[in-house]
Amino acid sequence: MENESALSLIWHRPTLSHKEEVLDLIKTAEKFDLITALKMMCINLYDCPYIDLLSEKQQKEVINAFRPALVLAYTQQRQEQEVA
Amino acid sequence: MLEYTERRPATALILEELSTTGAQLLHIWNQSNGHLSPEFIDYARKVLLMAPPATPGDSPDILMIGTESFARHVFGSKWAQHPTRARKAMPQTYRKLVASSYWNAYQTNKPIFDLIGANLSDESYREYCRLILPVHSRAGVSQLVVFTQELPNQASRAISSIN
Repeated sequence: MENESALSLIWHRPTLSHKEEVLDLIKTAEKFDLITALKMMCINLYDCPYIDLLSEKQQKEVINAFRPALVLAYTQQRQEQEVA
Repeated sequence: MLEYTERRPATALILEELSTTGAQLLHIWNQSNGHLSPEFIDYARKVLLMAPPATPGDSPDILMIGTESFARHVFGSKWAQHPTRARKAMPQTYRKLVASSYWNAYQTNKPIFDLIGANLSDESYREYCRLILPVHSRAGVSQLVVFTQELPNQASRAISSIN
């Protein structure tokens, strides 16, 4: 995994602005082909599938809610690489 | 009340008898060959997204709890606020009772449909049907889409007569 995408797996990232964090989340979700899962979480929480249309507070909630899915994806990919 | 899990074939005919939503989700899964396709988005509020099970003897971690899901209805909104803590907040005996189908769906990469009667808490015995859809992203990430719905009276007997 690239370092820049791995950033989204870390809880506190003072080096990233909120906007950068959202973009990083979207980029990582795209990398894992998990945009559908991200949209499902947005719909479920705020009745809107697009994270970029939500308020900053709502975006933070989505980021926290989606992080376990990204950690899972990262773990699965790493396990596959180790097996390979 | 007697606790049980009974597996049924995950076919459109059987699902339609109990749940239009379940049948639609199965259709999406079939059409997408198990891919987590955008068609699932419309059903986000009704389903759970779960991690693959780590063991056949316990239910998997929960990633998302739909606001209109049966699980949120029976376990409560407070329980549903923290999906990552929700699994451990369920009774261990219940988790063990319902675990094997998650494992089988993940291992076989095929939908599993079953009927369940369980004590969800000390004073809450419920009968419900559950559809487990193993899905994967194009990057190889595996998850489970799980839809559950309470059985109407006599439904479990009716479904038995179909088989």
